[in-house]
Amino acid sequence: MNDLHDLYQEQLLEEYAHPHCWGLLEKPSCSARYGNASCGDTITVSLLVDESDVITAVGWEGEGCAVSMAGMSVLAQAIQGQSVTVVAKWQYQQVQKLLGLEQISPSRIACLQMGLLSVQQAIIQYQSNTSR
Amino acid sequence: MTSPWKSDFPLFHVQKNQDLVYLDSAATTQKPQCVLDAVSQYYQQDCANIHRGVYELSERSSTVWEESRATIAAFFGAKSDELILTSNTTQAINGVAYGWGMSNLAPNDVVLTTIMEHHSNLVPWQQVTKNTGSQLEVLGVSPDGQLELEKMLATLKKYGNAIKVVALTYVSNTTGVVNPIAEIISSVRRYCPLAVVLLDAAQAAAHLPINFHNLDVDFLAFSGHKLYAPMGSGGLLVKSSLLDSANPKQLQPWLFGGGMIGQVSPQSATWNEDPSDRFTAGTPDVAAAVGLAEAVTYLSTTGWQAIIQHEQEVLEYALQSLLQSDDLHVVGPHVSYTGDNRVRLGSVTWLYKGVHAHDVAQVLSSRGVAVRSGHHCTMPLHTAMGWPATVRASFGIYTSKEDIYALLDALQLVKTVFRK
Repeated sequence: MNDLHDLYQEQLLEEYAHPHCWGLLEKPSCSARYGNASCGDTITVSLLVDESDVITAVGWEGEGCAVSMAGMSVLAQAIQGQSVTVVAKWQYQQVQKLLGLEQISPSRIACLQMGLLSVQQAIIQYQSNTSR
Repeated sequence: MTSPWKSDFPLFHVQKNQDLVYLDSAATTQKPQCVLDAVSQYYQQDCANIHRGVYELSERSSTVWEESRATIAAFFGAKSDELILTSNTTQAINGVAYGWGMSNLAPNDVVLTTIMEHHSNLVPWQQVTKNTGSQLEVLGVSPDGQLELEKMLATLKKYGNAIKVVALTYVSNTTGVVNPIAEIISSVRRYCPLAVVLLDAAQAAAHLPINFHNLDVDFLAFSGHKLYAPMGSGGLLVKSSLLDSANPKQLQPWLFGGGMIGQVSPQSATWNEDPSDRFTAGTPDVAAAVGLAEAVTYLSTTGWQAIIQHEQEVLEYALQSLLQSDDLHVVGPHVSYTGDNRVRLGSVTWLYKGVHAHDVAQVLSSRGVAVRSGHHCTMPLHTAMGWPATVRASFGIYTSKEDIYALLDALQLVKTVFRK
């Protein structure tokens, strides 16, 4: 049997109950909506990026499981002050570390990845817009 | 009290599964020892390619294949040459879509289906209507997930002869809804005489007796692995007239190659006269067919009365218990019968208030309770009903009230973890 407390730790549950950076930005530099078709989870993320390609503000909304929502909450805090080029290369393990999860079952990796994939889609949009 | 048949299923009795409470039979069923023995015996004693060799082992294997087919067909009240064995329901329905739909649908034709369909009885029709320029009409459902017969009737009358296919599930894999198929088919025959009817029986075949001839459908698709047979077994029953090579609207082969041919020359080929061979391209999974034959024999020997009574007790107990919980909302009908008409079968699905389906399933898993969470291959239904994701507990012959107690107990843990 799984140990529930390995996954649903205090930090994850707190981030889920009170997610950081909730609410979309009014005038973002870029935004994206990402959905996981298999579970119905969706995240919409909006980013403010400065002239040096650094993320200065994050706002997001979503609906989903505790892992995906908590993952996006910690990610939203962590990517502020980071360059878009750096965040574009992040993998789900970074989110796992931010949540303090020593292990994650394969079936929940998609949940962990959701926020990151939505951020990375927004970055693609930003890079596409700024390259024109 | 444990199910009287649970001891027939070895998976439940190995040590690593001793805490398992398996409530995902709608996804796949566990297999009784007799099915495992039959598959193993085939490979140990009778394995050879069929219809190809003149040596004794090949003839024996061919006999095993034909006898298995006859047993399976008889279980469904059909003739052996009305049965095309496939690997599952999805392949069977794709066969109808491509083998019948592609050559018989044209612009201005309508394929009628419903929002409750499994993706396997929706996506093939999306593809075929797109490729033929015909129209896909998708009927909605009531808030409790049932078809509204007046609206269906109105649609049948509206399109009339334009409707060429009605593709319908017998039992919903998400809501457990049992469709009133006798009434629907009767209306289709009356108002849409040019339509063929395809029935998706994937969730019905293990739980209800099916007589193909009495149903008056043209095609019936089923999965063996959902009725205690190996994965890779399933089939399509086809009305004889649609297998008649003289019928211009016959079902055409959708897979080509060895075994299904008559004559082959460099630039062309003819098809095998025998309908069961015409639709068996390549080496079939004889072992899966042997397992499926054994599984249907197991069910026949057990007897429908005993199966239905047992499963109804489990369903009723699960349904009533879950309906009493303030923590969740059961989707689908809240009764299993309306008068004499069965309206629900095989599963109970719910939304847990304030906790996502995946989290509920994860908590249940920590207590060994195996349920399915997500959209259960019915995304359009979930979207139409406003459900982001649901949790489904589904039952088999080996499920008992003991399993439901374990489910209810584990559900209490959700509140503790998420501090409701």
